[in-house]
Amino acid sequence: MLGKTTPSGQLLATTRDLTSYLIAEAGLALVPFSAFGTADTSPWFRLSVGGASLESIEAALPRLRAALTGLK
Amino acid sequence: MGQRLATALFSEADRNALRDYAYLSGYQAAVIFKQKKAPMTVSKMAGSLIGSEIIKIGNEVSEMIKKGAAICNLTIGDFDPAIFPIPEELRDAITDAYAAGQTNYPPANGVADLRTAAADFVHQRLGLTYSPADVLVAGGSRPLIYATYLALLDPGDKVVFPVPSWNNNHYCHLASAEAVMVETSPAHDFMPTAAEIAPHLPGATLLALCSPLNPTGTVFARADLEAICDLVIAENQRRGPSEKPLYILYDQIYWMLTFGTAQHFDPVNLRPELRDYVIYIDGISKCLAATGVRVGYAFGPSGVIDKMKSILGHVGAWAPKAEQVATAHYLPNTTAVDTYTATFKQKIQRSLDTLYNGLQELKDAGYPVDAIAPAGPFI
Ligand SMILES: Cc1ncc(COP(=O)(O)O)c(C=O)c1O
Repeated sequence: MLGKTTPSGQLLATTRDLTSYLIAEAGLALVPFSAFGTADTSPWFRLSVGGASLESIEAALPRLRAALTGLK
Repeated sequence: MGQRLATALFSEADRNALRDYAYLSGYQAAVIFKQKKAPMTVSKMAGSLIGSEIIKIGNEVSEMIKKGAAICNLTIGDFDPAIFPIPEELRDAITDAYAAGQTNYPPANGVADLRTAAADFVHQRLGLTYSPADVLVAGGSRPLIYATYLALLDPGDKVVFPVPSWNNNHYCHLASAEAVMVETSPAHDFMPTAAEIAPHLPGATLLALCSPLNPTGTVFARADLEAICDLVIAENQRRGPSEKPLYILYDQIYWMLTFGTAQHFDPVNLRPELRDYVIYIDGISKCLAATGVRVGYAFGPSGVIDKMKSILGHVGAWAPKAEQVATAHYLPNTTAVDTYTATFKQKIQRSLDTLYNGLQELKDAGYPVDAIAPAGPFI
């Protein structure tokens, strides 16, 4: 997903950009692996399930799909 | 050239003293040193600490939630007590212990009953045999990791660890150790291999390993951990008696939270001759969803554990006494522990499956996403 452009025309250059995009557009907050010592172009994220209900996870998946559909 | 050499040879204090001397003696040409920087208000170590990126993202999310946004927050490495409460028996034992007046200093290495309970726990469940005297209790597992670093490392000593991994960079910074980061690959579930680690072990003092690994939720395969253990054994055989050996810090704080077909392996079970070189980090924070209860324990060779005890004694990083007494009471209750963890894991598994399947569906539909099947509590 890095290197893609958002519907508003912003380039997602680093995982930091992508993290912010997912929070704003998919209502889904993840931690990029760069927080754990890897390069900030590493395209992986940690999804930690201890702080969220199953319902909120289920609700976030369609939002993620919609946010990804918007990327060019 | 001369200037650079001077800068390299003299400490800040030396330079300031020399500058003063040059001024007093009128020997201006000696003032070849860099402009004096603004005075440091804190130590160099503190001044150069890196803040947590996770907390920064967390703040961004909290801001948005405050504004009313519906956000699924998967950033925090914590359990929401409304969804994942601690075991009832543990909660009651804690309040009982306070009511019974367990409010004074605990022993420096931990309440004896808790050290016995922890030793029995890892003996029964993992087949690891340690004397309660070789168990050290602290306020969660973090102080124990810090104490392991301080007990083993001199400034500049090398610590080898895989990335991504949790907080080893910060502990290196606190201990003035040199971080040797080994990049791992998704093809190998982000777990380090012997081949990746081998070139870095000569001259290293500590190999910091974690399984199940935060942030990937993946575990060591038996053969991979065996191969790494064999490297450590060979490296220690190569070292002379006057050299510090190579140790393993084995953080297994998530070992009870394995999922699917994942199985937990550890160095001393696989290679008993490593016993004198492995410090285990463990505790109840994760397996009992008790991150705020602050009871961790470490076990390992007496000589190292004793020094860790002395270090943490000065810091005062003990677990609260009532929590220790309560945990000592709870851990031997096998039925309660098993019932609790079964339900707890089932609930986490459902969330993990939902996420994993959802991401796979997106992948199958052609979206540029991928996920690694979780073996621990993260994807
Ligand atoms: C791998 C790992 N080790 C240790 C800890 C610290 O746990 P505790 O809360 O017991 O200090 C954490 C928690 O974030 C962790 O992820």
